[in-house]
Amino acid sequence: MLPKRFDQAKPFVTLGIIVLAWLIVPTGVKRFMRLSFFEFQAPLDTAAATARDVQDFWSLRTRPRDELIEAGIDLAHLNAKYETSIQARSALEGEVSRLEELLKLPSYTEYRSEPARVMRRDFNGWWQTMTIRKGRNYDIPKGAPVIFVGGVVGKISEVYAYTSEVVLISNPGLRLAATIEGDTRPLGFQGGNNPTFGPAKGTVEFVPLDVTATPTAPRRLVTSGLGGVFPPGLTIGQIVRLDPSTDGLFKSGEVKLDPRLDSIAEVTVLVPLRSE
Amino acid sequence: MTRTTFIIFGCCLVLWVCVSQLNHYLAPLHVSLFTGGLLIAFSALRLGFREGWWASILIGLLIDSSSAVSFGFHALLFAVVHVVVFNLRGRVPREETAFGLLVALVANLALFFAITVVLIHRAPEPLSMIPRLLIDLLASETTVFLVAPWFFALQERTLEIGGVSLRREQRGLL
Repeated sequence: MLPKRFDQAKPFVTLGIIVLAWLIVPTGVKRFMRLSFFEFQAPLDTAAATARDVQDFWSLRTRPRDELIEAGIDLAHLNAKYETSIQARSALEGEVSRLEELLKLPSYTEYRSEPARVMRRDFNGWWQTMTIRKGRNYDIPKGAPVIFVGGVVGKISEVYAYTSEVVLISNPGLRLAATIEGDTRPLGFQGGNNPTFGPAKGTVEFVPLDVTATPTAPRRLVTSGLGGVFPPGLTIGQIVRLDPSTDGLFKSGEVKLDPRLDSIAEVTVLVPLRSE
Repeated sequence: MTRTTFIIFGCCLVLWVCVSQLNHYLAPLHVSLFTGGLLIAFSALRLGFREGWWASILIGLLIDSSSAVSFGFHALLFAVVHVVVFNLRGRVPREETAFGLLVALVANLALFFAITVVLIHRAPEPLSMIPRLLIDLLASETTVFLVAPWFFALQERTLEIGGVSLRREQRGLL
């Protein structure tokens, strides 16, 4: 029989053995376990998201017919506006291709747009992620950029069978190359603080000293296209404050992100098209 | 892993899904709930070491699978807290719901603090995160306080339905 003192320490010894064993478990096994656990609980989230959609559908059914007719008319106006934009875009695309050919420039990466519903949001103080209802079944690749009407949402961090996980730009760990609208000099953006009851914020660094931004005269921060993940020109947020950094060589400051980012229900995944 | 482990894991899964849905709705307010302490309090106080420990590990791995942390992070923290609570439980009235509630609150606080210490370096301005984390902690502790009695009863009743009697086990009849 083991002495009483050892009996008391037995749980700690077991814990130590399990921790050591976990450290030497191959990464492939851990990855397989992670996928298995995620896929195990994914149907629960999908069921909850579907229930929410059904709820929304029935609440919309209670709306009066006049309201729907008005919404239809508004939508027709919007469609007409978008038709004009599509025509203008085609003309611009043709112009870009012509210039690329003329100047022998490399082409921009082309993307396929894949709209997806948001299934679950997980915005805590430590990380900000969301799960969308499309995954390997729609050929969503890991690292693909995710956008919405207000600009950049984030990028795909994990792809599962029927769902994908998106890391938001408000996530403290996410960094991307940015630039100020109308300027070509690259800056560094990092997701930052997400205060309670307030819009998400990020930080910007390596801003040239001649650039200024204040809450009354903010500057629009857009993606630079460097790094190859995000196409250039997508809105990240508004720079509302810039202060000289400690080294005095650059400025760093605060970026206010789109407040709609927190209640977003539909996003678009930009799936890069493989060149032939 | 026995039937008891899976029953407790199932109960924890129910709570975790409910909290995830709550967090989904609270996201626009930038408030988030964390109830990790509640997930392990019952199994650490009332079950045998192996059964409760495996349940804590399994639920930790489940949370890890959909979190932006290394796989095994929550599982390791849950295992450590489980071992500590299990070792101390002989000196306290562990069958009392009020004491279980206290343990859940303290364990939740400890886990929240540990996660914050490990992950705070990710933020560009760590100090500016403190007000947000304090509000999250307050909301989480309030949730644990309100939900714990129901959750303990749920686990106890589910075990009874599953043919596991905690009272008989504790008296050494099984």
